[in-house]
Amino acid sequence: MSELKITNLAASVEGKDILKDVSLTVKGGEIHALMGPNGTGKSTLGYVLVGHPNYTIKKGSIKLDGVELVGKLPEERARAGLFLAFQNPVPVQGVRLSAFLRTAYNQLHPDEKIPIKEFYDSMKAHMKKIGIDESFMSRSINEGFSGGERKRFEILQMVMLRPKIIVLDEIDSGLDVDALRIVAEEIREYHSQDTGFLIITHYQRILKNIQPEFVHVLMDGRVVKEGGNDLSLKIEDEGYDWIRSEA
Amino acid sequence: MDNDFSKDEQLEKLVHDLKSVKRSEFEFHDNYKPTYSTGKGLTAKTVEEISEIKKEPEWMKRLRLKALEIFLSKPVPTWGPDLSGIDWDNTSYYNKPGETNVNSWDEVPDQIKETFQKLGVPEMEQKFLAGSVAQYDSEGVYHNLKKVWEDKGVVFMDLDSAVKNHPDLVKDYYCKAVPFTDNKFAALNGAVWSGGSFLYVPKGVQIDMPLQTYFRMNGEATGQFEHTIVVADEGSKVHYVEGCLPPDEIISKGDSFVPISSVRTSESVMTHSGQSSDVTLTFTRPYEGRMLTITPVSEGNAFRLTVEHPVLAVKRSEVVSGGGISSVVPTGKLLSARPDFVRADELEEGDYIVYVAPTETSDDPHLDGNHLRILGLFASTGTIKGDALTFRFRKSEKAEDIARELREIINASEDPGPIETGIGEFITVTLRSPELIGFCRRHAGEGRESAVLSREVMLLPADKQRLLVEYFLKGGGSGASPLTGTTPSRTLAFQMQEILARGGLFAELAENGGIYSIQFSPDSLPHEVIRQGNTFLVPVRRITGEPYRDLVYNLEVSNQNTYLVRGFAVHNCTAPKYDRNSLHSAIVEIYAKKNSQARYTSVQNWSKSVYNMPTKRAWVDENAKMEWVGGSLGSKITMLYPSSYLRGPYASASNLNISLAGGGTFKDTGAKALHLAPHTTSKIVAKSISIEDGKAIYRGLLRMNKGAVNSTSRVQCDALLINDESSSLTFPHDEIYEPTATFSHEASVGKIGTEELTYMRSRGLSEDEASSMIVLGFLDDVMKEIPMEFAVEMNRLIKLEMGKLGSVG
Repeated sequence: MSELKITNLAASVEGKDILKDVSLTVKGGEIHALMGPNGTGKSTLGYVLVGHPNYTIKKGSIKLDGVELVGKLPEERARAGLFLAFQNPVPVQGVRLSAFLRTAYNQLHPDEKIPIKEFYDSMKAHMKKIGIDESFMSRSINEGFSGGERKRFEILQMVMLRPKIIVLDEIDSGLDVDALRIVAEEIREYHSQDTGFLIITHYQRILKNIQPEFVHVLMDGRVVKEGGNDLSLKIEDEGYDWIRSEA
Repeated sequence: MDNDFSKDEQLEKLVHDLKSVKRSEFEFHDNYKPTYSTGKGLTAKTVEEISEIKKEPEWMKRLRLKALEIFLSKPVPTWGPDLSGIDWDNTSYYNKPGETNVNSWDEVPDQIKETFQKLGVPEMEQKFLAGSVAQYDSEGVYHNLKKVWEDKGVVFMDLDSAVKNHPDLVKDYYCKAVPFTDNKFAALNGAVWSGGSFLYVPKGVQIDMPLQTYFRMNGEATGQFEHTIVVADEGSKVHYVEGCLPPDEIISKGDSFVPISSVRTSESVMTHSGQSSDVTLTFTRPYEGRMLTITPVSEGNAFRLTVEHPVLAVKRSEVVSGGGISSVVPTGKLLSARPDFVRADELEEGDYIVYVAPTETSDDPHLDGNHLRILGLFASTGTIKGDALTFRFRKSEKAEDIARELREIINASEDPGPIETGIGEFITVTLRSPELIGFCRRHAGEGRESAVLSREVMLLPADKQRLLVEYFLKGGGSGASPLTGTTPSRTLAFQMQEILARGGLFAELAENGGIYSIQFSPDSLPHEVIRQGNTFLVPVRRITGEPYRDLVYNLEVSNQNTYLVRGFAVHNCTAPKYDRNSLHSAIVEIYAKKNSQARYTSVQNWSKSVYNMPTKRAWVDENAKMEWVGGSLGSKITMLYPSSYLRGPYASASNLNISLAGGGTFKDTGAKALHLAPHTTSKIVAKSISIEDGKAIYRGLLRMNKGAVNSTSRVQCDALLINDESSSLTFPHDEIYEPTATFSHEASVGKIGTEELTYMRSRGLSEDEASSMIVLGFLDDVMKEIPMEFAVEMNRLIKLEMGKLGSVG
């Protein structure tokens, strides 16, 4: 069973300490939510996990299935089974969505040789479900995509690339009600005993569609409060101030 | 979406195949000392000296001096990149490599020849071309034009020779499209020009092969000032064809033989020297035309290839005077004959083609005499069924001896296991030792029906291999001379022939009903076969042709055709790396006359100390078509704006340029289109890639004169920035005086920065794959418009620059 274990993680960007001490564990079959006010380091955690070169890890450990990811390249982390749905996916001019996904798939699953047609048929089926027009296959990734289209594409990548530990950074932003419902449906469907989710979110909106069993609140680079789904409901009602004063 | 599959598959393959090539391979320089140099600096005396050395007519000397005046009167342009680094006084403007300008490589001074050989110029490529000219420092050292074109009135030689041999023709075109007054660098060229090509294609002549010029700048702080003139007279046309092999043709990899269609880059294949070399590119293209079958005296070696594919051969007519096929060739002449590459359709029955025995050997001490004996017998008589290996010998007195010897050999092995012997119509020996069976499988495949010898066996020294052949023949061959072995395995037949050739013997192969026979005499060569070191000259018995319509394949092999780019009057430039700056200031003038088609392809890969300032211009007359295809890599600063003057109605020009601005370099490139007549069209596509702190600028001019009714122009500029420091700018300049004319500009900027790379890498792609995908995607739309091999070559060179991308974070 997969397990992402973050221990006493501290990280900085451009000389500024953002994460000070973060520990949390996501196991296969679990859904976690990471909540917190703006600017507390939630997205930083996503970048640090994925190995963004602008972020420096000061201390701590990130283990996926017992393998230390700190010091590993982004592609090595992906190959270990980690996936981040970016909050703001960048456009990459000239790289066709279909070729990109297939190249990525071949990297992540080198032992599986899926014929190109079969792969594309499967991609088309998923696109249909997620609500991405087939014509997007030959478009450049994220180029000219609306905010919502980018988020749907992140979800398409998740279901096609079949990662084990999935970090969703503000996956609900830019999605209208119907799109949110579809995305939530995909996430629920992809969720299994083998996949663990860490949903990074500012609002409780997405959590109405996908109920987390564990909620962690991040403030000023530290996890200051943990609880079950009721914690997210309380935050919905009362905001973060009460936690701040508690801490 | 079906098209998309093939495109993506192609892309996948390209991404997979791209491998880095080190520029340093080309940045050697030899120690050749020029026999004459005008020394440093430029005065009227220098110019007169150049003209005198060249023994030029008076009119050319006067033109030079006039150009010098204009050069001295014009300031260094300041509107573009910083040119203050050009050391005018310390540049030597003329270096003469030697006395010769010849039309045989044999007569080119050795050191210069070696330099061109290192660059892969003289042999293979030359044969792909209708003609070629090579220039070393300032002078042409070699020129050649196929007789068939010469007979049609085509003139192709270096300009110096043309000034002497065709003065009136040269006068008609010299500096008409590019006058000295055009710019300071054009004037400089006018004063000190040396070398360059003159190509004249007469009315209605359509050349189906490219003509190519090679340049090499060797001296430090020297200038290279060639002047090229291309005249496509009315109704003439150029169009190129390349040579390829059909997909099932068998290629020697040194240890095995595989279909050409299965050869991938980074694998090794044999070259005509007998050494293996890496495949750096593979080409595939559809081919419709004649496919030739060349059948040598050894009929089993018959092979197929396209008509233009060059074959290493000795023409019979060169070694024998007067006689036909039946004439006897003096052996002495053949022994000293030098094979050369000949187009397949120029081969004739009786000519000699060259069989090459690999020269690499590597002894494997684990393979001893008994091992090779068993393998020989296994390859000729063995079969594996389940856990048993059975050798079958047709019953004879000898067979009993061999079976006995085989049992002894097996028993002498470490773990012989039980042995069964059967006697019936066949004498059989069956063994069950897993070690021995595994050993046989590893080194000779599944036995008789499909035997393939391992690499280790193929590389063994000749004396060990001889044992294997001996026992292969003992197992199933005839004992009488000539000795004959048979096998249903095509690969084994070729391998046996190769093994024998390594030992100095030439075996003849023949095929009959799926069985190959290998026939040779242990103490002599077949009639008319001549051994030259590790090669054999083998006469061609038969040549047949048939129509063919399918894919054909071709390979680029390192050290053989490293910089092979084809197109009309192709430049292929490399200069060694020096700290001091060199100057390249060429003039290219193209005259595309009424109804003609001209294409000019130029890939320039100068060292990073070179200032590259050429002036290139085409006059395009009524209904003529001009195509510029350019790749600008390397150099410190390049300023290049190929121009098309559309002078007659319905003239058209297209200009495709790809610039690569690597770290520390500045590419100020673009194009000019001047519409001077009605219904003219131009299309400009400029793509630039900037790496590290490289700067790429697009600078273009579009002019629509009053009266250029219904003329159209489309300009597209795309820039790709690699890493966050590189930059790109676009300066289009439009002068539109005709209200019915239409034009459009499109521009785009993409980048490969940390965010883009991290995003792609977070999906499992390596940094290298991610950047390759972006670059290939960037070039995707021009791939369709440029020859595939040119696109692949560009990719390879871009990759070479991107090797440094590792530092991007």
